[in-house]
Amino acid sequence: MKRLAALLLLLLLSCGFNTCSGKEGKTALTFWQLSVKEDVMRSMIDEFEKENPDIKVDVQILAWDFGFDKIVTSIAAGNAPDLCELGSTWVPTFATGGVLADVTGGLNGVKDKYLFWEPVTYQGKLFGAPWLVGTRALFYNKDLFRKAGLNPDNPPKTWNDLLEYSRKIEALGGGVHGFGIYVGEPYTPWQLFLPFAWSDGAEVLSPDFNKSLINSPEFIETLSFYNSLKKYSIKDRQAQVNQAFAEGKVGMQISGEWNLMLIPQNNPGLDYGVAVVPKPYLNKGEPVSFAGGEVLVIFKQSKHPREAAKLMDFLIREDNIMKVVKSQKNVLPPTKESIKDPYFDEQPKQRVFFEQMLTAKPAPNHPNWQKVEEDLTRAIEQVVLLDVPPKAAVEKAGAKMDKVLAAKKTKTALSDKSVFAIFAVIIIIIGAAVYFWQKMMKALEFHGKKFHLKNTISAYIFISPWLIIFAVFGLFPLIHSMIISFSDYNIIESRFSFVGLANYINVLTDPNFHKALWHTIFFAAGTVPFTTVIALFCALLINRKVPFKQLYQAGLFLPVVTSVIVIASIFSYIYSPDGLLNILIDKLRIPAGGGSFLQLLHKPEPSWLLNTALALPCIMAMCVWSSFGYYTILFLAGLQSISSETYEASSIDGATWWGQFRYIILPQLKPIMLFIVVINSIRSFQVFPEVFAMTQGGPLGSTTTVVYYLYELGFHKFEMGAASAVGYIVFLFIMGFTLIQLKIFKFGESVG
Amino acid sequence: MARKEDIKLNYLITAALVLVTAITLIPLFIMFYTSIKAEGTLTKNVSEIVVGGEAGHAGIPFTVSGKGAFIWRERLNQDMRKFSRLEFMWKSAGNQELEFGLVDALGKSSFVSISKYADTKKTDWQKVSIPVGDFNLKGLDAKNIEDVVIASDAPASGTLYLDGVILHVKKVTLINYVDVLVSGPFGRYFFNSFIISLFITFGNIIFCSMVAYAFARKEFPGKDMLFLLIIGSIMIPPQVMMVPMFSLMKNIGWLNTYWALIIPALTEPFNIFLLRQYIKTLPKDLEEAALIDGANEWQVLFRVIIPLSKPALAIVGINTFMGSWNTFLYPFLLTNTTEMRTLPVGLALYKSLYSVDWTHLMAASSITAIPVIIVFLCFQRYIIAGLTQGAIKG
Repeated sequence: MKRLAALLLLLLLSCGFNTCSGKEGKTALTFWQLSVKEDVMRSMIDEFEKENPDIKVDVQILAWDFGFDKIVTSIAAGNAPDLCELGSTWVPTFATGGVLADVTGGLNGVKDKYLFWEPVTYQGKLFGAPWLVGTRALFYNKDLFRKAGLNPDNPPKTWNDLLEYSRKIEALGGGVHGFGIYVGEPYTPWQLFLPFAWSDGAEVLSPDFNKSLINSPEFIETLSFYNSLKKYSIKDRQAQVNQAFAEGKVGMQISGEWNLMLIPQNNPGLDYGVAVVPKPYLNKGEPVSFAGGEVLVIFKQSKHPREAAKLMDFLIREDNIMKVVKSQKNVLPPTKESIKDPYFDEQPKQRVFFEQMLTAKPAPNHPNWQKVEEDLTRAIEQVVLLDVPPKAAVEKAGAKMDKVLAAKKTKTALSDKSVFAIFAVIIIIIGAAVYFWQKMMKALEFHGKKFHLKNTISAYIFISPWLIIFAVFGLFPLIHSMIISFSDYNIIESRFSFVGLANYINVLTDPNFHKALWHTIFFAAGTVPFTTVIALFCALLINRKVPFKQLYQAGLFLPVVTSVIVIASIFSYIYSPDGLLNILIDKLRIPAGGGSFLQLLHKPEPSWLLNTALALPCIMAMCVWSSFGYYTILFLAGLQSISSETYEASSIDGATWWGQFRYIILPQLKPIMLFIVVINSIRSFQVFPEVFAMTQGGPLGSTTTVVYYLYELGFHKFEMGAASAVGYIVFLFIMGFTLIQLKIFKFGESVG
Repeated sequence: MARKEDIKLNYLITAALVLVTAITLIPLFIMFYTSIKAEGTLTKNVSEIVVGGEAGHAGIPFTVSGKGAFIWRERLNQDMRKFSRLEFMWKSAGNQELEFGLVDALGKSSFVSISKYADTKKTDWQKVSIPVGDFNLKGLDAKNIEDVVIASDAPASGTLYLDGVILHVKKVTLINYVDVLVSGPFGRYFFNSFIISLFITFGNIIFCSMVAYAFARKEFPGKDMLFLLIIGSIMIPPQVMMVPMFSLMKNIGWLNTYWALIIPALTEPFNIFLLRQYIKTLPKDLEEAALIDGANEWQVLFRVIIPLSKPALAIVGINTFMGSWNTFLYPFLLTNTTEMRTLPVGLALYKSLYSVDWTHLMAASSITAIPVIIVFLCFQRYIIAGLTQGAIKG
């Protein structure tokens, strides 16, 4: 039995330590996808393998978190899958990068039967096949319609209806809102807004993509309409609005199919309807909605493009797509004929989505759409959150977009002026480095110590584990990324050219970077002292002779075990408009007439996380709360090295509590304190998952920290060179900061 | 006098600590609580689902008449494992033998006779409650029950009224855990995570103690520069290293192997820094005594320093185990097959783009958290026990 277990273990291990592969003369295809659940996909692939006995398909389901980053990283390393699912807005970016295979020839036969070709078409060629699509439709709460005296079977058909209905529902009061407007995140604000603009005949970009058209009268008209609609709307991130609608607090929202599953989960009793989106006027325009979707692409790197195309043809077959649609109920087929499927008769709400899709439009397929959308979202958020007049907002955004659109053409080699600038920067950097080096050496100086060879060798043996691992897995990537930081490296295009310090200069002169840096400094300055003091205080309390020490220790530590997304969701709830914090403020406020300073407490508009001044402090509070327990434990461990005799001796000497703390505890804790301050500062400067989970850098970029800025630059705008430059600037920054800290703590002197 | 004040103060401190502990434990509590909910989200509970008719509105009854196999049918589309009871108001014309049934997507059905739950002679409104467990769901696809139906073998006479048909949601259930555990080869994920974390944790405890000891107690050329390098290597945002690390692993052929996940993590700079700082706080007397007694440096390290550093090593152990157990990014990037997935990578598939299936996600998170909590509870006694238990006397 034992032997068998050992054998099994060995087998399992050997598989993990060697790349295990079972090649049997079959063509092995790799296929990466995100949307379809494992069991459904597996059964389809089994069928495919039966039809094509010479092909073996290795399907990988990628998680939505960082799934895209994995695809990008694999392309950069030349390790891309054969067939891959991709969000439709990415196709132009990947197509310009030249990483996608042209699949025009294979798809000619099915072209008439499918919708959604626009996003996969680039320069007249097809670079992918439409697979699963989704659109947005109007959800309306029938109960609220009844309460507001509206006909629950007559959803709004025009903008005026929408405005009027929203006003009536908002007037019901009690925390009920008429409509839901999305703000505070990168994608959803424009996905909701653009359909309104499109319905009115407005466009974001000119057909040749040379100019932005957002200062057209139609666009401004739409934005003004939005401006009047916002008075009767809840303004929040999409997930929050969806949640509020499910709870029956929002009269109408325009959102996607996933709500059909979300609502029963939250509030199965909700009586709601789904209808096509309203259009500007009864006799003008069309109810245009936003179409997004997932497409299948074949990478040029694929060694088996023909087999990959076979799999693609198989997966986009109507019966297979309908299998996915029926099992997941949150996507639509891109096949026109599917409307006849009896499934849609049984699911009238999904049918509305299908009808809506016939007039839906995808985002413009500009390769730099990721940059254009940033300005678009910003313009919308300025109007909704900051009351900027629509005209002023679009003018500013339009100018920025034109810059992005023109950027491609003006990208040339270094000019004379910039060479001069590079020299200046090099000199400054070298100067700073020398200055710091001297400071550091002074701080760390040994005073004439002699080293013995034997001691030195034995010391190096002791540190060899780290030295070897660092030399291989630290130094190589370090040098690699440093080279990247001096190059113009687009990771999709694998375009690589040495540009000297241009990345550093571009980053250092980017106002967005300045803002991000300021946010980061603010973040570190706000969290590190607080966390340290609270942690030290708690550790001192626990270290006294109190009962249940281990309980507090565990209690304070365990939040670290809970994943960031749980903590972020709980705090999102606390900060939400009708969340815990606002309830508390309401409770604390003494009824009118009582003159108390508590009356000065205001609930921020529109809500905590969407207030540009409060969003960052809110995240900071969350970080302090979720991390101080961890540092408490570290302090507690540090306190253990002070022997009880020391305490006893000092209390016999009649030392006060403060005296004990000041002259015995503090000096003893210095090394641990240094560790905590340095580590906590580094972590604060690198704060990322919290921002990613809570605000995605918004609203209006007010929570973009340097690492979030870096991430967006490298993995969404594909400027890995610039992103690496940011990384090294962050590094230098933290290094300088740490050296100051080491100096304050007199690191070089032997302590304790 | 002083003693009395001390006792008072201790009470106050205990109360404060209990309060702080309670507050910090809230998310963990919410996580576990959500994972045993049958339906709902982090902040919402769902206690019942109305199938037909509004409870309390006896004015809108369902009229049931005629005969046949299915004389009344209502769409459910529910996972019946979530529910405890089927409840409704019932008004019969007397003496009717009817059967309530559930039908799954394939048309299979299971019936119970109503006479067991209601007084069939009574002609007034009465409340009927059928435990879902009484339906024989073994042969059915309990996850996808499409309809609830009423059938009658004998012709039914008169009109029947039915109102407020409600499904009561179970208060506590383990189905989320069951669903998560059968959705993939979780044994394999667990095994992978365990092997990786175990190697990394023990590797770090031994190697980092060695390195930290040298940095804390020895003098050698390049010491401070190397130490700055250790701290410096944590200062570069990890996002910058993703692409270089990936291509390095690809070039040495370690993609999709345990090596790629274990070896680079064996000497975490964080741990070296922590242990070095901790060893600095230790008194030198014992080491010197050991050296005079003729012990060599290795013996000093393993017999004196490591036993004295238990509190810090406990933290290193907990921290490293937790870190490698929860780590997502590199296992996700560097592995490509289902067999090589670690637990967090397997569980991340529970999040979809727009909506989060909270009950399942929390069950999945709890499954990941439990081993870490166990490891913490095993190690934690060393944090406080440390020196006060008297390794050092004078």
